Formats: sequence, structure tokens, C-alpha cells
Amino acid sequence: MKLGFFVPCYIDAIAPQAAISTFKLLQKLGLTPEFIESAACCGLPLKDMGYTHSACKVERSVASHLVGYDYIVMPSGICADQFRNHFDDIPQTSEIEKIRNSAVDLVTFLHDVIKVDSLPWAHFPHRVALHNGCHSLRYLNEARPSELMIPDFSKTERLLNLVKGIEVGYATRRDECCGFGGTYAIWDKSCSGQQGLDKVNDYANNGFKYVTSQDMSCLLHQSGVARKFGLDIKFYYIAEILNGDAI
Amino acid sequence: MNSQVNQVKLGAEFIADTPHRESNDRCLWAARMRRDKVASTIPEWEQMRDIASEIKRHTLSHLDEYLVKFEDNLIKKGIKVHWAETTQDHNDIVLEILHSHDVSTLTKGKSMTMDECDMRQYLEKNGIEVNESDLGERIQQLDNQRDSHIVMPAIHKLRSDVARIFADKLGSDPSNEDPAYLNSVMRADMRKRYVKAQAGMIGCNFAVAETGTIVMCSNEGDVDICATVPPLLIVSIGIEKVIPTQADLPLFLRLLSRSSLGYDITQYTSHISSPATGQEIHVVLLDNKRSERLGNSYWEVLKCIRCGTCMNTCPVFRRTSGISYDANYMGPLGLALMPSYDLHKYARLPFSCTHCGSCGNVCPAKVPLPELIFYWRQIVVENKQSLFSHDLEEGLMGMALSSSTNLQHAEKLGLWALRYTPAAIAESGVNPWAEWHRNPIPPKQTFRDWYKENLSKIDKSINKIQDE
Amino acid sequence: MNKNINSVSARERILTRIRANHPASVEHPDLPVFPIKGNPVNNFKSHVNTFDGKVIDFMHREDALKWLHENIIQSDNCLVFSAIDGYEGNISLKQLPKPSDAHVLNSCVGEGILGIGETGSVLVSPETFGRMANGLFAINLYLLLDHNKIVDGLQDAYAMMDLSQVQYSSLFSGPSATADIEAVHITGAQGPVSFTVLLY
Repeated sequence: MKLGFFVPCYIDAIAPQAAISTFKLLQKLGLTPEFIESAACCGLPLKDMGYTHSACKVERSVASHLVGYDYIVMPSGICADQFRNHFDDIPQTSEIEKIRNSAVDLVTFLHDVIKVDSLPWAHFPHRVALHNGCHSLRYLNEARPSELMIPDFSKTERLLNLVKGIEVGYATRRDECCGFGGTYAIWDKSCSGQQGLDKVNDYANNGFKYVTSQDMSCLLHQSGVARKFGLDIKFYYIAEILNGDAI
Repeated sequence: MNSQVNQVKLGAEFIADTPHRESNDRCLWAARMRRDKVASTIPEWEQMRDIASEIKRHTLSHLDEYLVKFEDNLIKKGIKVHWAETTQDHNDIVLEILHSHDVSTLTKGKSMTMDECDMRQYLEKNGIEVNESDLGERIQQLDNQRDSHIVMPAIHKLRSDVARIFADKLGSDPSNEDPAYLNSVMRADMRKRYVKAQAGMIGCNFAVAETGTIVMCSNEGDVDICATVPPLLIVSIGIEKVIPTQADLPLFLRLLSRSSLGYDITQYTSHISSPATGQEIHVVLLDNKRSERLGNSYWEVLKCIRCGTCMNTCPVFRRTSGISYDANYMGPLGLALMPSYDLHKYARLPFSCTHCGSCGNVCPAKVPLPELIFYWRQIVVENKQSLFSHDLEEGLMGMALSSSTNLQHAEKLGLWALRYTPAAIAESGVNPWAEWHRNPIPPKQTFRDWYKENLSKIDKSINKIQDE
Repeated sequence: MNKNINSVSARERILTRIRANHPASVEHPDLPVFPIKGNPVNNFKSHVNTFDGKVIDFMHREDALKWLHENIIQSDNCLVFSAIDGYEGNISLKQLPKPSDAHVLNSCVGEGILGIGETGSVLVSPETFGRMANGLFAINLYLLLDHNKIVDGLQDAYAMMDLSQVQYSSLFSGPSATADIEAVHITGAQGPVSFTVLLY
């Protein structure tokens, strides 16, 4: 399997630990991830704001570096959603179609593609709140959104339950958006901030000291709010726990 | 430019008002939770949403046939039918009917279609006394404020607000904030008004083409009183409200109230097919750009059955209230619909969304709300209705994101700023992030730097990285 | 006159735009009748209760009538309208010339056309109450209902109706209610305050 490893811009700069843990985890699982150094950004921030024309330039540029992989794994649901579901304004060549199908979020990759069923090295003897990021939840089907009356499932929770000692729980409003929303956090800082505060208070009210998610952007937002309001909660990207890096 | 609705600014004001924000959020979230609970008892829930969506798509793709059939059936049974292209036409038609019957006072049930026409204000300007009969709508009328929700118009208010308004306008006890008492004040006041009303006005939830039936769903009993007590009844119906057959109706009824408030049905589900003896009924069919919407890529917004569940679930709506949208339709529906009324005025609305996707999942008619909101962002940008700060961001981002090298420079700059900006500035108002967040702790190195540094240690033959 | 001409052309303009604009034809989907779990009478009772209504069981219709005689107070200050055979009120339609005159009623008694287990609704029409206004203005509503007339669900109920043949009909589900102030549920909004089904 020719496995590409795409590191989203925000993770590279602000949360490199998420990418490091993911990279190490993939290697531990016997894979040979190839870091696609030349690939920059998926274009999501521009696309999200409606700047389709500029986004297309970025999309075409990044796509040129993503050719030839069986799978392109990324530690980011929002970027995987962008590649898979929103790469539709550029010409749909066979290469673009291939990229759209092969771009996967880490959780989907571990659960659906290589079907991980044990993580013997992982140990996390704590009660942890799982926050399924909205894009992973509602656009990538990594768990059942609470709105849908379909059989319950959670790929994220199944993976976490492979970790020794872990107890996975949820905030009371288990899949309420935390308000990050990319550029939304800047555009509407009051509502974004209030959503974040409500979310971290929900964790605190349920006695959670640890929170994990497959979406690092949510966690950066939530941890920033938690620190601002003096809440003692640690936030881990899911690979940090799955790889045994979280303590 | 000032005429643009600024939801973010109005929303921030509501957010700062903690008691109102918490109450609005709590009430609407409770409705969402009831919805989940009641929907979960119905095994065919998701199948029903699919079918409802398909029936609406079918109807909209044959809208002319069904409208004509509906009209024919109404006329056959002695109901007078009027067609209004614009809100002004609608209001003129209504006023002329009222004038020709010498109506000076009427009672009116809640109707989004009439609100869309600002009809109450128009009639009042023309000397007609309009008494809103829905409690929430009456509160908003007396407070001279727009509805904050299409189903619960005053849900953003506290009981103390209502006590103050009723004391002021209806002479009730200002110190009694008990909702039961306030409801009794409303009941007693409205009874007097029903007795002297010369006309009733109502909206319509479903218009059944096959049988020529106007269907209304309500809880307070007021809509049925408006529809059956005065000798003259006027019904306003948006042309998208038509459904083909009587057999389609129970499917929508099974979805409507469960989605809306989390109850199995509304207290009153009523059907009018002809006038009672001595009664005259007029139906006004309103277009107001619906026929144009039909020809656009956002036509599926016309599937909406006005249940309000997208508002109940929206994390932004619950915290900012419907008032902040300053529009007839608010919340996710407003974002998807209002720009088609006035692109410039509502250009900012589609950005008041975190793209969490919850609205699309609760919508009983499967209106693709997240996609439509995203669509409008693109249209706003294409039509240069966007804002300076957005365009600036786009320019900088477009530059930074277009290549890996540029991006690395931008990241380095950002990291440098993160590390070396004095806290007094970095955590101050200059940085919009700082109002609600502590800045992230700057990492020692980027992933790229780590990767380069560790490249030599990465032993590909054993596929394992040496831990430092 | 002018207005009428305008409105005819408005009709044509709207229909023309619709015809020019409407999306590619979509078929009407199959609409199955979904089964409702449980016994319809039991479902009916529990749903009426959740809507703050009351159900009283009787063996025979006569027992229900007897209950009405024994339990409903009639006086000059307590006006009762009855539209059923076997129980007389103390005010007649003649004494209520206009629909709005019904605001004086304390109670109204009628016979439901059918009941729905899924929702606890009772189908009524103007004939049920002599006139709709009587059933809407009365403070207390009493509806007799034959338990054999309770169907499983909404779909079953609509399969039995013909809306085109009825001037007005309504599904009443409990007393009138509102939650417009802070979502506090209050029974007795603008219509009946109490809703009692006498099931026989």
C-alpha cells in the first residue's frame, strides 16, 4: 500500500504533536507513511468562506502533490471532508477522483481500511470525554449523529476502547458543536466563544479531566477557552492516546 | 452598506445578556431533546423523511398542476381564490376584501406568509385593528418586535418581560410573572376580541390539492376560533404549501409536530374544505419569488414545512436568538432563504453558521440546509457583497495557502508572533482570539521540522520510529 | 374591477413562471402504510393522558350518559351545550344565534367521529358540537367515543376520511395548550381548559 501522509497547515504549525503521534502510530501498525512535504493546504478556509475561485487555485495546487497514493491519511476530519466532499469546483479528472476517494481521516482509515483490532502498546487509565468533531460525525460518518434515528455506531469510540484502562464518556450534549467552525471563530468570536465555553463547562460539570477528539481544530479551540476560563482539562488528539503518547 | 443585517453584532448583544441567552438555549434544546426522544420511538422515522422529501420534490416539479387543481376544488366549493405575485399585491388584496366587508377589527392566527408581507403593519396603517391570537405572536405584537422563532415567536423573552409588556399594554399585575397567570390574562383579553371580530385571518400548513382542503396545525385553539367564529375568513398560503393528496397528509403530520416541539401531534389539526353556512372564505396564494426560486439551484429550500426544528438544533441560533437575524425567517432556514429575497441586505447571514450540519439531519423534509448555506456564501462572494475583512483574509490566505513554501513562511511568522508577542498584546483586544481563548502554547517545532530532524532516525526497513 | 383583471393576470404570470422554472419531473414515491405497535385503545388512552386530557371507561354508552347526568352541573351560571342524543344541555343553538355567542358556555358535550391510538386524537366536525365555536369556546369539553371507532394511526384515520366531503373537521388532541412563555407548558390556552373522553 502506497500511503501518503498529509499534514494540515494548522496542525503542522500549532499542534505538531497530533501529526507526530499519527505518524508514529501508522508506523507501529506496520505501515510506511510517506510525508507529503510539498503539499500545503487543502483550501478549506477559502472554500468555507465562499471564495471558490481562490480555493480552486489552492485545490489544484495541492492536488498536484497528491497523485499516486492508494490512501492519503490525514489527522484531520475537516480536511478529509474538504478533499472528499468539496473538491467539486475543479475539473473532475481521473486523478482528482482518485484523490477524492483516497483521502481519509485517520479514524476512518484505522477503522474501515486497515481494520485495527488491537493496540497493545496503548494504555490510558482515565475517564475521557470523546468529542466527535462535526465534520467527522456528520459528513464522514465516523459515528451516529444524535439527530439520526439509525442504529447506533461509533468508529471513534470502538478505536478508543482498544486502549487499556480507558473509560470513554461524553458531555451531556454529546455532539453539540463546540463553535470552532474554522474562520467562523474569527468572524463571530462571541458566539464561537460562548459555544466553546458551554462545551468545556459541560465537560467540567460531568467531572471530565481529559477530552479527546479526532478533530484537532476543535481541541485547539476548546483548550484555548478552557485555559482562558481556568478549567483544568487536558485535551488530546486521538492518535496521542491510540499511540500511547498521552499520559 | 448600513442596511445590511448584522447578525453577528446583534447576536453578540444577546449573548452578553446571560439570563436571556440561557433561557433561550434551554427552552430550544429541550424541544430538540423531546424531538429526539419521540422520533426514536418511530422505526420508520428516517424512511418517512426520505418519502416526505420525495413527495415535496414531486409536488414542486408539478407545482402548476397541483396549484390549479387546488384552486379548482376551492372554487367548486365556493371559496374565493386570489393570486398575489408580490407582498404588496397580497396586502392590497387583503385590504380590499376587508374594506368591501367594512371590517374594522379582526383576529389573526400566526402565519409566516402574512408576516413575510408585513401584513399586520400594513393593515394597522390602514386603520384596521389586528389582534394576534397566538400568545407568542401577541406578545411580539404588543412589544412591537419581530418574531424570534417561526413556531415560538417570543421564546427569547423571559416571563418578566411578558409581565412587563402585559402590565403596560393590557393592564395586568406587573408583579405577577407566573406564565399561567399571564396566559389567563391573554385568554380573558382575547375572548373580548373574538366576540367583536368581523373577520378572521389564518395561515395554512398544508394545502391538499386533491380535495381542495386547507389544513392548519396549532395548539392554542385560537386558529380554529379565527377560522370558524367570524363571518369572513381570509387564508394566506404560500404556493409551495400544496401537497398532492389526502393520503400524503398524515405522513407530513406524523413528522411536523414531532420535529417541531417533540409532541406526537398538535392539539388541533383542522381541515377546511368549504365555507360554513353564512361564512365567506377567501384564499390568497402568495408567490413572492417562490416561482423564481423554483428555477434556481437552491429550489429545494421550497420543501420546507416550517416546523422550526432547524432553529431548535442550531447552536448559533440558540445562543443568539432569532431576533439577531432581523429577518422573517431566521436560523438555518433564514440563512438558506433570506438571501433569495435580498442578496445585499442578507449578505452576512450565510456566514452565521459553524457548518456543524445538525440542521440538515433534523429537517423532516430533508432540505439540504448546510449545502444551501454554503451555496449562498459563494453567491455572496461572487456578487461582491462580502465584507472588507473577509476579502483581506482571502488575499492573505490565498497567498499563504497556495504553496507549501509560502505556507511555511506564513506559519513561521505566526509561530514567531505566538512566541515573542508580549502577553499584554497577544492576550488583548487586538487579537480577536484572545477575548475567549488563551493563545496556544507555542510548540518547540513544527511537524516539518520534527520530520526533517528525525528523518535519519526513521528506519523504514523496520517501519518503526526510534523514540527520542 | 380593475383588481380582478390584475389578479387573473397575476395568476397567469405566476403559473407561467412556474412552468418555465420547475425542476425536472420527479415521481411521487410509494407511500406505505406504516404499522403502529400496540393496542390502539391502550395507545389512545395513554396519549390522551400525555396531552393532559382524561379518559373515563364505560361498559355501555348508557353508562357514559348516566355519568354526564351525575357529574355535569347545570345552572344559570353554568351553561352546558349538548349535541348528543340522550343528554340535554341547558342552552340550545337558538339561544346562541352567532358563533361568538358560545363564549358563555361552561361545558360542551359531543360525540367523536373516530379516535386515533397513535396520537390520542378525536375527530370532530361542526355537527359534533352543533357548531365548531361551541367546542372551542366551552371551558370543559366532553367527548363520547365508541372504542370500536379507535384506529391505529394517523394514516389509518385519513384513509377513512374524505376531506372533500366535509365542510370542516378537526383532530382534537387534549385541551388547548401553550408553551409560548419560557416553554412552560400551560393547559387551557384559548380553547377548552379540560378535555374528557368518555370511552364506551
